[in-house]
Amino acid sequence: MTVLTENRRSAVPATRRPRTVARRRRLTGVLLTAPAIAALVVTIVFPMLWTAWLSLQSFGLGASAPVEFVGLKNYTRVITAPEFVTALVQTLGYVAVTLVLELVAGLAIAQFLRRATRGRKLLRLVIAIPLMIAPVVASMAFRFLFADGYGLVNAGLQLVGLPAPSWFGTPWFARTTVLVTNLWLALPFVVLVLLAGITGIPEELEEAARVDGANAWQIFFRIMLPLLKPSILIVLVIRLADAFRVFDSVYVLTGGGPANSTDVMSSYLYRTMFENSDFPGGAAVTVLFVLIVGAIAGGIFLALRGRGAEA
Amino acid sequence: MLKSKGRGHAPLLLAGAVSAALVLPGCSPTGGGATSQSNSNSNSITVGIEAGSPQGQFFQQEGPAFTKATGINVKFLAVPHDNMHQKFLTDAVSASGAYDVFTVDEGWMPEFASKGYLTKLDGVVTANDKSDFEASALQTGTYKGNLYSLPYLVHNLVLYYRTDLFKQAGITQPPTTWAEYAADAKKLTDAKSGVYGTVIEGKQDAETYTPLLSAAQEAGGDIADAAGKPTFDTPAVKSALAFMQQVQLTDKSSPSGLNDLTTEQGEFLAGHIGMITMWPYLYSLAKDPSQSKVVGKFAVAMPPGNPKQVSTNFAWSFGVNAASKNQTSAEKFVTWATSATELQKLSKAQDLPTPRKSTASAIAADTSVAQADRDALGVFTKSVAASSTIPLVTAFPKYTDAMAIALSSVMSQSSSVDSAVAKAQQSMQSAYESSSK
Repeated sequence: MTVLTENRRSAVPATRRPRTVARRRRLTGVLLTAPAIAALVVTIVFPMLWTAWLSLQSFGLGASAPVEFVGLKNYTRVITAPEFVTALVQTLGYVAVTLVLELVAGLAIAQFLRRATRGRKLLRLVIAIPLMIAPVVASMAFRFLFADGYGLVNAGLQLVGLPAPSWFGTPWFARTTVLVTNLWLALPFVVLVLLAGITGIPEELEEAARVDGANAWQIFFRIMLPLLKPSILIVLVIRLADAFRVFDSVYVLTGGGPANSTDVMSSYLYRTMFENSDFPGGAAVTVLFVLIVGAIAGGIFLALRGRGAEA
Repeated sequence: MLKSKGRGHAPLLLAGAVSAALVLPGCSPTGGGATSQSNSNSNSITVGIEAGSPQGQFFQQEGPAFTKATGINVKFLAVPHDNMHQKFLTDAVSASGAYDVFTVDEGWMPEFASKGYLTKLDGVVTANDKSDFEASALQTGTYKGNLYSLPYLVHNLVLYYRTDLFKQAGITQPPTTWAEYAADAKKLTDAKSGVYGTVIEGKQDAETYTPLLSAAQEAGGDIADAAGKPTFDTPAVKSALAFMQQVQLTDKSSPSGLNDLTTEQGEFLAGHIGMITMWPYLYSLAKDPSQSKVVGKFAVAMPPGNPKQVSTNFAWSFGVNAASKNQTSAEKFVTWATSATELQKLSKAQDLPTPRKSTASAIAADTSVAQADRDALGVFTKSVAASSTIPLVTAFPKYTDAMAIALSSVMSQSSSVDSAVAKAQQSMQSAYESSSK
């Protein structure tokens, strides 16, 4: 009996203590992350759910305006609007083109910066300058650069005997101005991420490949690119969401014109909500926007991560 | 044992405290208290004005005079032009009453009035006062028979022309018709030396629909009927667009590209343009040597017509936020700011037309005002008196979008006039129907 009691006494604390410690640790973990979770719920989850709920209602902004559940009616209205389709197609086109250009140019510049020895640090600093400039300010500057009468771009073209186009006067030139402005703004981020990735690749691999007779293209495509996949994934996911949100340059440079040819989802959403005060329609556009960006970003993430894991 | 117990709970308590510290301030009753506090004092009001606007600055400077006259303190909050609608709308929807008085752009007055965001001012303005305002001026603040805002500026686009360039080109009179306008613009253009006869706007933005709207009225039509129903797909609108296209693309009498208000104004002040239609505020800028190269070389005239020499009237007004906790003080500010005394001071200080008959005649007879300035003010006043205003319907902001797209489509040659007009009509019709439901 005595033995049994002693055994119990010694056994009970032995099993309970780890459980209590584990529970405390778990609780501590929960409480330490609680502020961040609370902030996420308040600033992201709740507004998203609220927006989704609003998108299913019909309401005016008047104090006595009735609120009515209309199901998917706002979505039907938005999806069948030609302006929405135009803005969506143009946004997808813009995102695809800008991401490809950013990656190609970013890789080229990163490679150059990796190799350049003299003035490398200064070049890295110079390349980071656009990161310190607000997009709206940069867009204003590009508006002057591309101006017809007094713009530096046209002055330069005329100096070398090329015709000076009306940059904001035709749809494709106007799209080019938006693209160039955003390329200038986004490239530093892409270059710095890719440069960090390239620097992390051991030089021995390249040397070994060269010894085995691989040419520059083979080294790039067979060694560098596969090893750069994590960096490219970071660039793609972050820049994808960023490119979808393009607004400042469109608003400042073209106003969505000419003839809506540079209208994108953000400018369409801004106009719907804040100029036309169509908040239920705007809520539906927002939900669609989030779903589209989420699906594409998720697809890219899964595709690249999967291939990365296989590699 | 105690020691170990204490060590185990410390992170837990710390985490709890951090959570509480982060979450609780949001529930604090002092959150957003500054606004409530300022509004709870009926001796203090807040007026939302346009940032950078000379008129806003004028009222800001006159603020102490209002306080002296009424004992009510006034605080001015400046909001950039592009954000005014959004900012005031957000305040109105939340009914926070952060602003007691809104600066009201006529374009969104019907929206605010229809949703109950503006206090009716019919009982605040005396019959005598009402009769002193030009009828067309009071109309700009009236929605469905009730007065919601009082204008301090009613203006429209008038013709500014370079007297020196006209003389050089042998043009003796400012143009009164579109045909004369196009011919004069052609004569004045010397692209090699960077001088153009005029500037035609075509950029898709929030401002460029105004010349198109005026041109439609000059051609004897309008963009909507008396009930506000869109009538955009009409010969008048088509002829307006065709005229703009001719001057810009065929005659090339306007700088290439899709021009906007900033370019138009800047190029005129830089001395590169023979004539433009522009707002009255340009007058004081153009005679200021620090901002203009055309001082003493320009004059103003009625806009050209086809055949009507008119231009759409637009108004800037003050209205009382229905959610304001200081209704009486806010109403006092609105009536004071639009009184004959203040409007006369504003008109004289900034060479702007005045919406009151008494002040217009007082300035016309005021010999302390230069004759050239009185002549210009006479033109501004005559142009407003001859013209009518925009359709006062809640769908108007959507009409402006449709017009801007139509104009930029035509000027960029992305669409034909017929197709652009038909598309805009469809979009305006759908906006009108949605707003009428």
